[in-house]
Amino acid sequence: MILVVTATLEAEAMECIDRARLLQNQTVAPLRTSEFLEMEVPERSREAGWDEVAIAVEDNQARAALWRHADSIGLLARSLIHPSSMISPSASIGPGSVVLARAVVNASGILGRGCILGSSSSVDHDCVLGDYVHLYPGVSLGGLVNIGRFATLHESAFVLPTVTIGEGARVGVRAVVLKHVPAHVFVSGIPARRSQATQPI
Amino acid sequence: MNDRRGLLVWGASGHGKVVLECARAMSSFEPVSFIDDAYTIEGEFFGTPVLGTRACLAPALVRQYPNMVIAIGDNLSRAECFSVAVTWGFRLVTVIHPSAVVSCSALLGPGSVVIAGAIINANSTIGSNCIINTGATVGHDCSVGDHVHIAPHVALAGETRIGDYAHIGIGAVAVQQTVVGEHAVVGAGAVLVENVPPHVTVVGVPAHIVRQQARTVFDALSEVGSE
Repeated sequence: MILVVTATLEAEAMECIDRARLLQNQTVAPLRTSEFLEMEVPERSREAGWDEVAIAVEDNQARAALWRHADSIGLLARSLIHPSSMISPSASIGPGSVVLARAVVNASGILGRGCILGSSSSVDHDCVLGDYVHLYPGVSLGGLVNIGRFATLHESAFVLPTVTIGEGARVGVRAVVLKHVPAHVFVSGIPARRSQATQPI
Repeated sequence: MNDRRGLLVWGASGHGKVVLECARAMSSFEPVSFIDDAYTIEGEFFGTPVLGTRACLAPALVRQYPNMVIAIGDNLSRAECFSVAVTWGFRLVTVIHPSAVVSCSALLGPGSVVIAGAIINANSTIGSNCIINTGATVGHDCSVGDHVHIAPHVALAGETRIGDYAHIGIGAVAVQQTVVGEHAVVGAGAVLVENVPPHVTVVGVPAHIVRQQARTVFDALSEVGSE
């Protein structure tokens, strides 16, 4: 049985749970993050019958913390891969990553653990995504793109082939990234430039 | 050898891998091998034999591998290899990933490749030796010329016309009835709201001309990159 941990238990999370049901044909139960973090003893979760966990939390740092907790209480990470997505047979998807409807991962693509690929996003050949990377819907990466852990690419951002995006960087909505992006900066626009803005557009 | 299912993929590169996987997913071709002009000796790439450069092309090879597809991103290089393959008598096959959606009223020319997640709608025509890359969408009644590269996540609205050798950059969008001239280069993320003349590079939202006479696609792309 799979436990799905969510921040809100609102519509998005419920959709994720429905998908999980559809995919794995298994019993799925939602649980709030606060309750999950209170779950300290592995036995408790096993007694309840949960052996696997999927984490449906948007924020990269929060998701990473939840995964660390899942490790510490001995739950297995469950990846959720939508049946309409296309994962190349030569690609590898890290444990606990979520691949939503119609997303594509092409030849030799590598995703770290706990990543989120939004609906209709695409990861081209030889891309490497670090742990806890979040691609929002419609993001498209050219070939050989490298994305550092904890980076976030907002809706319909595009990245040209061979570009590297640093750890924890954020790319704004519909930005077009032509050059390497340093760690922990926010870039936006066409072509993408550094921005002090706090909103992702 | 006699069932005429052998396929040669010309170009042992990242894009070559993607095309190889599309071909394998179709389960129509066996055996499949690469040729690549960088492989002066026989080798292996991505678990698949690389038979050598174009110098290894011979009638016996055409019998063993009657089918060919060119997996090179650059339009001019791809066109040049295409003409060599035609001269040797290879059958230039259309490779369509099973997850792509191609309307039954759409027409695709020989050697064109449709990568995973791409969509080609009713009554559209794609020329020969084109690449319709990951997740790109081509609307109804579009006409795409020969040796065109439509990059990932490009969206062409209905009745768009794209000239031969044009390169449409990643994520670019064209409104309905846009006409893009031959050899034009459209920058990544550009939004086309008016026609693009031949041999120019356009970038931005809305797209504007940044240079005339794009020499090659990659020259032009590096210019866009240094903007």
